[in-house]
Amino acid sequence: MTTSLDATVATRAEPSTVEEAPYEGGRGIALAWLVVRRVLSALLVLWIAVSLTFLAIQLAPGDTVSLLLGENRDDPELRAATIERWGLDQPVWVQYFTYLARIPKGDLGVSYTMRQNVSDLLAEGAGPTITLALTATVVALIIAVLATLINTAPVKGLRAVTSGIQLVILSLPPFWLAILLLTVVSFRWGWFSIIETDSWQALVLPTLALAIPSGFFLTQVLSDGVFRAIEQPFAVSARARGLSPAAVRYRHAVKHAALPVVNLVGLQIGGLLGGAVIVEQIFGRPGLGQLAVNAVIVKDVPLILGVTLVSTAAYVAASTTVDLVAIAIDPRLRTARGGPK
Amino acid sequence: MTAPVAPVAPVTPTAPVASAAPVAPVIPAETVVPAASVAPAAPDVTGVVPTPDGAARPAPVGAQTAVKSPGRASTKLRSAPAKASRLLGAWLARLQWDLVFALPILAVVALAAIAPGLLTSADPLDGNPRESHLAPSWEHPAGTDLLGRDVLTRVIYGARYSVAIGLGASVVAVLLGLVVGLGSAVAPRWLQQVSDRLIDVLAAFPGLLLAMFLITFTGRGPDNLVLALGFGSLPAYARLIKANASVTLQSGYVEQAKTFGLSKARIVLRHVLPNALGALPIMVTIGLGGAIIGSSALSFLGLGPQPPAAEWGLLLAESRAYLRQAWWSAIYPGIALTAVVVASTVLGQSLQRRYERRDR
Repeated sequence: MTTSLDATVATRAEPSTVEEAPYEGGRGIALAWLVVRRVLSALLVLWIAVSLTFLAIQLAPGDTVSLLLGENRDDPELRAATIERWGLDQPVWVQYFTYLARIPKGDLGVSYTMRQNVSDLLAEGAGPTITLALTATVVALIIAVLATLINTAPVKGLRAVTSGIQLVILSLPPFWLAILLLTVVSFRWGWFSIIETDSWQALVLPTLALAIPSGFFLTQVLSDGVFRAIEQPFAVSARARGLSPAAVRYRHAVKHAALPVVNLVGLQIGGLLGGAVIVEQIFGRPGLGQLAVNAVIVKDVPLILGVTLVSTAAYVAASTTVDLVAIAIDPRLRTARGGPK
Repeated sequence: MTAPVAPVAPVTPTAPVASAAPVAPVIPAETVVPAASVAPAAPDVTGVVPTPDGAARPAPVGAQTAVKSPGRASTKLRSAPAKASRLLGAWLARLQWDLVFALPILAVVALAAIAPGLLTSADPLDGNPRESHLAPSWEHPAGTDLLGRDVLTRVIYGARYSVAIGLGASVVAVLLGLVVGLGSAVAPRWLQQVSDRLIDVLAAFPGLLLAMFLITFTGRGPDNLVLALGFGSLPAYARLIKANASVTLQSGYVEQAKTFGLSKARIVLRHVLPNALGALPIMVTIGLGGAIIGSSALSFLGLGPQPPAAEWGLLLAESRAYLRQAWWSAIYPGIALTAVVVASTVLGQSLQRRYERRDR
């Protein structure tokens, strides 16, 4: 679900914490302080997320034990075990701390519908989903760079055509795109069979289904950046030094425009996990998305809690890494408020 | 299509005869003057009204401005068809092609949502098992599905679900966003920090997963879908509304309202809220596409309306098992969805451009 509304939000909501660090002492200390701050704020987000899931369980109608047990709510043995594990006979604040203490240990409870530990199920599902998300990110970046080069080529009237195509691609419902790829490429042309889920061939179509929307979303940002960078003084001075327009565009402007894209890639990884839910369903791939859909349909609360926490953690880890990478790439972020003195 | 009418010759007190002179569609050959000189019969952009003796007098100021509108394109005298085609050309150039494309699509979808019976006479639920999986033909332009139901009819009836759920989710998101965004904008600083963090965390969940998480607790069905989707897009709206409100709160007129001693609640209701509402139709139009995709995606996963409802996502889900035999039942709902999303995005972007130009 990447609409232009999301796009405005994403570009406006770039984490500003990196810029607020005080500039005191040597550059090394300032840098270390920046990194510590960023990591602390990531931990804070995780803590709030865990607390929100706890709140959701508490606020849900009906008694908590039945909620956690789902269809097994009448089994007295399981009831006793759940009460013990979640500390449900204790006051709420004790329950909260029990919950908080359990999660870092990887103890996310038991999925009673699957009769397995949630953490085991997640560990099994995470592998394929991470593979899918990472390949999709790489392919999306390749698409974004190639499409931007075409997009920003100085041909009259080209922009109107490409922006129309991009609008349609971005408006395609992601699950329909997946169905189209499956029908046309796999069934009609017989390429990239999806039957053996472990082979690389089975990975191609799901990757494309995820990477195409995400890639064209990044293209919009990257192209905008290139158009803005071309008008900046450094581009003019590069032209004045005798570089050709193409060299300025591809050597200077694209690099300059890549920075916001680095930030967005972090935000996109969250979106990719959401997209994986659908893509895994359509292509019949095992993974976190499949687990989530099944958990929602059979109301397996511990499992959906686990999937939610893992995807939040993945998102927070990705966006933190990306922020740190941005600091590493862009010296302006390092000097922060003080600026070059 | 009506081309704008050429301006009427202005009545001027100094040259009464000029107004009586016919604004001839076809000018006799002898009255045609060289192209370099000013056209004699009809007043034009130069604001010169001809008099019988041939001496040009300046037309009054009022007449001059009246002439400035569409007729401007023709400075030279031409025959009527040429003039008309020229005016048509100018009109076409000004026409907003994106809207020409988007509005009819939205109109058809709105009609399908309000009165689907006008677009098709068939019943979306009534199938003939002997007509299972018929390819598109004259009788069934989009083919039939497994149970022999007409796919086109089902797509038309499906508009109602997508539009209702999409709009409903947007309304829920806007209402929640107004409460959170405005509340946070006027809250003390520490509370703002807390609410900003909470919104950050909500935004960290992918919207689809957040909606799925909520549906686990509320159960499946169209109304829960609306709530879950609305909540899922809350972070985006809350941030935009808060940003808008913070700008308004620092404006001069709010400052003045404060010096007049208006209470904080009154300032919010009288100044900040109306200001935030101004941008909302645009936000909703742009967000609508995402809401419709989200609703069909969740229905596709089986979390929305249940069969035999004709929701587009559900139609696509049902078509999945028979992709090899009946591709058509997977194509048409998707085209409908894409068209609606493209059209609403185009309309939203056009509204936004207009809104931004207004401020300049």
